[in-house]
Amino acid sequence: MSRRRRAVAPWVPYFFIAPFLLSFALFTLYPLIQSVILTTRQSFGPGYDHYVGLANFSNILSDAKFWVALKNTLTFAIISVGIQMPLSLGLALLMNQPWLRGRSLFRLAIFSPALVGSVFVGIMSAIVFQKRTGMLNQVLHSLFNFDPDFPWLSTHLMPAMIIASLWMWTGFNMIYFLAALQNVDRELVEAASIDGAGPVQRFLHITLPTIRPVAGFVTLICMIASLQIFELPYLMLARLNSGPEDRGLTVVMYLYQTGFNIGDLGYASAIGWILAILLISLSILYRRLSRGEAV
Amino acid sequence: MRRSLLNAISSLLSLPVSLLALLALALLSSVLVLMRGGKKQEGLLFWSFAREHLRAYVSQTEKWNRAHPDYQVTLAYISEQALTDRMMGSFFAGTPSADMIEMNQGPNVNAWRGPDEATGYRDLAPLLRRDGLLDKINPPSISPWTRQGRIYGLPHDVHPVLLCYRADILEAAGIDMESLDTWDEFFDALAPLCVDLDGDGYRDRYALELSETMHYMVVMLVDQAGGVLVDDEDNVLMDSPVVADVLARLARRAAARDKLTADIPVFTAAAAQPLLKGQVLAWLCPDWRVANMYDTAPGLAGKVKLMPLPAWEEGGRRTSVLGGTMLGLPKVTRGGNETAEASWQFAKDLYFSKETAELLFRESGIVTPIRDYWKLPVFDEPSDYFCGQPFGRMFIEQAPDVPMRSSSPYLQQASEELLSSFTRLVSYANANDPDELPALRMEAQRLLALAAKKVRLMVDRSAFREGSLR
Repeated sequence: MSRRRRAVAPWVPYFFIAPFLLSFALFTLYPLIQSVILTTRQSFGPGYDHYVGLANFSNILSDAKFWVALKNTLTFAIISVGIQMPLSLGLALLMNQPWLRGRSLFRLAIFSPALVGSVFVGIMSAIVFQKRTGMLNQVLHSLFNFDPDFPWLSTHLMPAMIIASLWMWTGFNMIYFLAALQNVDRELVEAASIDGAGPVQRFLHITLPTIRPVAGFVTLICMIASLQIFELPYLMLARLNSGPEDRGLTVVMYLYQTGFNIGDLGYASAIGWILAILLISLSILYRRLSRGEAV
Repeated sequence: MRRSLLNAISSLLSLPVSLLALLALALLSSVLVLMRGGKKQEGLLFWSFAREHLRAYVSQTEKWNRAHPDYQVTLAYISEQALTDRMMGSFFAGTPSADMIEMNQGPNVNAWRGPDEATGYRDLAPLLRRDGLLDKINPPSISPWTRQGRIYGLPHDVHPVLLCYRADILEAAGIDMESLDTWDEFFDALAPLCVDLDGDGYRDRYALELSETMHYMVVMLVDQAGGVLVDDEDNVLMDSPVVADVLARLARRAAARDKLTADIPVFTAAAAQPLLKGQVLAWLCPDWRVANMYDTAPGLAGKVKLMPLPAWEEGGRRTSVLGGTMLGLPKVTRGGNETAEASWQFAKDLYFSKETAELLFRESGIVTPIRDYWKLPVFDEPSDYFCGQPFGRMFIEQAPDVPMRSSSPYLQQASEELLSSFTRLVSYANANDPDELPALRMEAQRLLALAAKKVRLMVDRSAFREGSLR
């Protein structure tokens, strides 16, 4: 049966994409342009502002708090992702072993922290990492006579944040690696075994090259998420603001404090754009490095 | 053109039924929402972040509502964070919030960080003068809400601070707490009790609760000594010798070698455990903490007593101040000018009422800032919790000496920087000899100078400060 194609007016396609274009222009493009304009102003909420040119950026450069926030954020991102990736891959390799009994149960158990969400993890960590009354110190003290007053939430805030993030995200990333491992050619692995290749050689020369695009993608995504970290320190520190010596201050947290607590949306926008440039640079770097690899 | 339109409609009609149903639902719900319109608020809305305050206001509000059927007041509890967000959001956007907002000091100062005309609260100074109420208020209670001559809120409290201690343990040890006049005497007397009780190699008992993660305690002790962090004109004064001396003397006691201070999460249920177990022998107790202790540590009844704070120097101030609440009247309300006077009348009736003063004390242990009511017999009632002490009278005796506080919006940043300086100083004391007080003072002075520089940069950055418009 043949169907005759009806003539469609040239504006009809535009009519159909108009809702998206309108919402994109209203909710993405306009705020984006507005945020660039805001970087040149000092504001007290949206109602009162004052043109300051590029002073927000020059102030940021001399703002010790911003540099502390950037240092904390980078430290968190590098260490957290640096531990998370091998740990996730190791767990995925373990969960991929056919001899492991109850794999589904283990997968669920390891993945489940990601289900509860970062807000819950943040609130729970604030209780678990308390001095003396916190569960972690209590358990470590009874097992290893660990100092019950070990200050996780003050001088050792960064390790506490990294532990909490590992607990939350390692299982989530493991799922990506587990999926990637299904693409490893079993025949190739068996052939390599017959040729005398050991487990390490098989992993380095067959498994790793196969999962490399996925590993790169997961690393990039985790890095971007870690550089935007906010809710974990915000909730872990609860009423402590950014903690003593600003040990829990991250770039997004500083953006929130200046924009929403103080009301200087201009300064907050400038911080936001600096972070955006950092993230864009990271993505470009990733694309350069992964050129020619298919995800 | 007509044909194209028909074609478009016919293309649209050829869409699956489910999509058309969704489209119809979207249109219908939009029409319904538009028809519904905004719900008009009736009467006056009163927001507070504290349930115990509201409990004390119920009777007074019912009385008002009976007498003023046109201006019925609705009391609403909103958690502090949510209230801060709503309040600042409405101030920033110039949209109406509540008619009256009862708010804590910490987040409130941001309300007057911008230009004067952008401050969301009405200036109550003319009304207080008109109605002759200014002289009735304890002056230190109004200072945190007074900015460049404007008064942005009615003070709710005084919040004098006393020292609460485990009388059962200390009296059994033969320590006469009332004879300890200075902090040095206090620490020296309690030091022998601060030992490892279970033999695991870690100290189990501390002389004083002193948070190293929250700035309140350190700031309170600096206030007691007369130190000023930032004054009302936003001059940063935190690098003064007075502040350095307090930090040095505290760091000496907080250093790991002979640690006498306990860093516990203050004012939480978890924090009550070390107090109940006798791991902390004394703690700083503003009047509002009494209700907190009743709730979180009922087991301390009959075991604790109160006394004036030990002074920093012989004959020095025996109290300090912690926290503070004000009742502000937003400029923009749903009722506009029509309800503004009614809001003021209600606020005045509530905060200057004898009944509220009594109820507030009974509900929360909070002492009223209205000096005339300090004579009320309710404050002389002995308390079983505090071993028969009339704690209300004890707080009132210290109320006139409560230090004046600044209303600077930079106080929060300065307080955080002060705490950071303190934690760095404790690290320095851990790495050096903590008993070398002159060296500690010198290091404290250096750290405070760096902290002050950071806060000054923040102050100088403001384009809204008078005379700094670029």
